[in-house]
Amino acid sequence: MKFSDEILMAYADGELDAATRTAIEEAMANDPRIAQAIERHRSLGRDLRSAFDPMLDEPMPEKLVIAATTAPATKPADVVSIDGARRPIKRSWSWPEWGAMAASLLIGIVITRLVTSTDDNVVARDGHMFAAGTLANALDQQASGASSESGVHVAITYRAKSGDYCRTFTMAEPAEVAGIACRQGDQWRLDTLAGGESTEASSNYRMAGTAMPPAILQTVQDSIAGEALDAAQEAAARERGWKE
Amino acid sequence: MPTSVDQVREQLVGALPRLRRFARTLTRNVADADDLVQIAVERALLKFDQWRPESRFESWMFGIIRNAWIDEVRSRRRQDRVFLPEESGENVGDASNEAQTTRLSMQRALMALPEEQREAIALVLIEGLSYKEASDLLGIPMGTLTSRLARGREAMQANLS
Repeated sequence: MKFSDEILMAYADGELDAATRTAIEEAMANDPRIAQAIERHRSLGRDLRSAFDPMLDEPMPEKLVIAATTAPATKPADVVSIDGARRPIKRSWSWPEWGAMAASLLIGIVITRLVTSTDDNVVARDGHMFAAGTLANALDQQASGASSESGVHVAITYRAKSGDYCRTFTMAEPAEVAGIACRQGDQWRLDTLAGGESTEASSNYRMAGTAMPPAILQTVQDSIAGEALDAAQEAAARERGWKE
Repeated sequence: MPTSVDQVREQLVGALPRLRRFARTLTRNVADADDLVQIAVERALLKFDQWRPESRFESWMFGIIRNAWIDEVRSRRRQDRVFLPEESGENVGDASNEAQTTRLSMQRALMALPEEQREAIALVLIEGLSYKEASDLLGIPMGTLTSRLARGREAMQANLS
């Protein structure tokens, strides 16, 4: 046969230019194997579609319709990039303690949720917030996706474009908080936080328990280098103390 | 022409069945596929103004689904629970047993392919994208797409015969 199977496949898929199509059709007259090969490609396509088309008629889960019709179309107002929020404040006065961030009411709300806990989950140093207590232990030790008594759920681990290991987490208690923690030295720096139950809209469409607010996902998408770590890569990174 | 968020919501609702179907070819699992579609829908709405009405809406969404799969869902999927939609009790219609068997074996044959061949075949043969649209979406040259399609089809034929 003078045509490769790939060319005949492209013919069956309607992907060839007119000249090549004509050449194939002329050759078909002399070589029945060409028509057979094309038919084989076409019949696989037909069978595939009839195997997958019925899925289009299945009942639609309500959560997807709700997400499509009500999920927020912009970043929720209570999601704050701590770096972004700090810069304008720094211009006007020095900022030795993260407490000054309460100047931003929204940040204040999130932080209040995070620290009104019996064991402190946050410490401040050099103008950054770092995880402490239960949250720090979970970020150090807990595998992504694992359920835990700690009340902290770690969703994924990834390398940021900066090279740092970062982990996304949610906490249900003492308040619903989600965020991104990135490794700095021996600690987890808290870069982005979002309150969980702050708006009607957000509580309507989120999955119970472990879902990340969309804006956290968006921040991950913007800062991730490559893909999230799989379980083995994550375990290896943990073994190395989240260092290189 | 600027895109309004209502336009995008309307497109989203209409596209949901196809988005679920494409997501299942990635996750090979109904529950994960629905989680994946939900995440993709949320992400799409956060950047709804990036969709241009002159481009195909589904293709834009397939790209978002695929990115969400790669950077969020794949790492926490229900790895020990890979199964096909029909085995979950959904989608069992009134078709004859023979047609049902053919459908199941086609689904199995596709799901058995490596991911890069599976997504190429799903986009071109099931969702009807052109080679150009599919290779743009996957970020690979046309020649690479063509050879993934050819290898995938070959493996499916071998599996089915």
